[in-house]
Amino acid sequence: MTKSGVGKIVLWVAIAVVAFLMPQILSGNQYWLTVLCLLAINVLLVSSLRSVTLINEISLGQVGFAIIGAFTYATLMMKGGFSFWPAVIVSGLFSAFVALLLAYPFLKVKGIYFSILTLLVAETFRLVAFYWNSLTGGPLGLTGVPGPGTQNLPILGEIDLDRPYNFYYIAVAVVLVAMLILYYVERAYISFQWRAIRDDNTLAGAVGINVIGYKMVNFVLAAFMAGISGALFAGYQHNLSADATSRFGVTMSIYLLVYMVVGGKSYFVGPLVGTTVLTLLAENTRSMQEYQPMITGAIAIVVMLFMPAGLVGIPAQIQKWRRRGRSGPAAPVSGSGVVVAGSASDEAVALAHDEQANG
Amino acid sequence: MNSLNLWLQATVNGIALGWLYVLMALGLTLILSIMGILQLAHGEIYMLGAFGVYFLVGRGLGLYPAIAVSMVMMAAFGVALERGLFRPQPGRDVVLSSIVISTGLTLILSAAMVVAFGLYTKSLPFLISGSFSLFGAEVPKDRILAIAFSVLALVVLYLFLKRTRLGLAMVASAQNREGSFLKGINPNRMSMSAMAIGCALAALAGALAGSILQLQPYMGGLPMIKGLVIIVLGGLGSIPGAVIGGLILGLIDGIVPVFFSPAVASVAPLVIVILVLLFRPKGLLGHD
Repeated sequence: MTKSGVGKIVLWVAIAVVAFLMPQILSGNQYWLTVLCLLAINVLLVSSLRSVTLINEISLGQVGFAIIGAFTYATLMMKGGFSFWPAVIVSGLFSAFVALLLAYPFLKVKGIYFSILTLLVAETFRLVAFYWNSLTGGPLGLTGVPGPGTQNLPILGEIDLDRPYNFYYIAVAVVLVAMLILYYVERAYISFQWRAIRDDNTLAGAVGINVIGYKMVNFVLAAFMAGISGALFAGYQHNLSADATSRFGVTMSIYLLVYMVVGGKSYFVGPLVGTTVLTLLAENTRSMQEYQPMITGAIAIVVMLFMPAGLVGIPAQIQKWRRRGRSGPAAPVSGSGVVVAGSASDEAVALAHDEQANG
Repeated sequence: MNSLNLWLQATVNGIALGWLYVLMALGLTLILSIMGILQLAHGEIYMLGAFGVYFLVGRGLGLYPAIAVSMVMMAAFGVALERGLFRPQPGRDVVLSSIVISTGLTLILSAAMVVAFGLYTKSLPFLISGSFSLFGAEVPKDRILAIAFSVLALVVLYLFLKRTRLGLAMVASAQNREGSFLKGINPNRMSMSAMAIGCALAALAGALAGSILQLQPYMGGLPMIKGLVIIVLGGLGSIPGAVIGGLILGLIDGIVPVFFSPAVASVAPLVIVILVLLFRPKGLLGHD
């Protein structure tokens, strides 16, 4: 195993340990645990969005699949008599099934058209949830969606998993497992096909890759993850609403995209970093809540214009400057580290891809 | 008779809505075909146009001059956006950067309007008051006037694109950016014109919507999505396609919720788009 491989594992273990000890560190502070639960759920959603970028498409519809997951979970729990774990899994599978139905016509188009269609999907599913009175409670939404409830666990005994303190572990565990799956899929053989499709669609088809088939696998997997995230949200929040201003509005799709780009879309940890940074920023500027979206929007624009590789791309960028500084004239390094030429940061992205390919 | 009345009113409402969507789609299709970007903040331009009219009317200007001023202001704003944010830079992923920048813009502009005007819905004065009877049914005049304004805007745009040098240059640039560049057509100038015209059309649509419906800071999202769907439906760069697509979506929104259910009305566009994509991937009237 290479040196950077060990470093990566150490990093992930450190993240896992910190995540595991977080309730102790926060000494059970309810408010921050709530924030962290939602953060974990959002990280999964953003990771599902990033997973679609592996085939060089930008999906604005992950929120739509999260809606399906959330309302499927609620229906299964309230009317179907399911218990927590089967309900979560079935919600994810149902999201994936809907994605499978949509995948063929959608993936025949590329680029901007695909983004438009996924945006339409998100809004359509939201409106259906908003108007389907008998199933989703219509404009009023659903209240009293059961969570995991009190369960008898081995060793730990009877535990009320609905409390934020305990639900936090469920959220983190599910998100961790889901991220591991995404991580291994990204390293697996199938990702070579995806990368070929990402780099050149036509050429990939010409060398015998079933382009639309592999794209469909990617899209369906991402929808599954989004569905799981929606189900977790429903189980955590206990009430669901498909209002335009709710979590499932178009604005949420925008935020997910911003989280991903700010973190760095070419990096697996990008969604984690971007979501965490922006969520913490949002929590710390809560006093000026109405200016909040402006700050987020401005950050998105600045990141896109000046460091397209995102926050995770900064170390690679600095390393590059240092290397250049040693061999030639000093690169223009600004104090804030924000001013990055477009072409230079593209090389950083390429560097990251190489690293992924080697690691 | 009552049922006929309802049908007629729903149809007129649907057509009026449809033309608003057509105006949005025309702007978006100009921007998308000439600049190659997805301008997701177009709905916010629509909203800003409506609020511009609201502000100017509140300052004592008449409704029609206010609409004209707002359109000019939004055109200037569009040019500024193109120069400042959307102009392509070497080494930048055009699709992703345009989506992220315009979504960032969406957040900024809608939040700014919430801060400036509050969340409550507002309304503009009527374009014209009263109604006339048609086959014994009452039809509000302002809907008809809104349709007339939209059709007028469409005709002006069509003549501009087919009869003037700048318009023809824009069409050429949309058809082949490099080829027209070699003929001395500056793509950046074409992009600026496209943004100016698109934003003016969006401002007109917003002002009409503010008058026949109501206005609030989040009013732009839905018409923007409808406009984008119309592009997929009608075919990129096709003006007749945009009109047909817009009228289909408008009639669905006008008629289906009244006689069937709003849930059906919200699924219908998705189903139609999927059917169109399966059988005509380039859209109803689109071509390569």
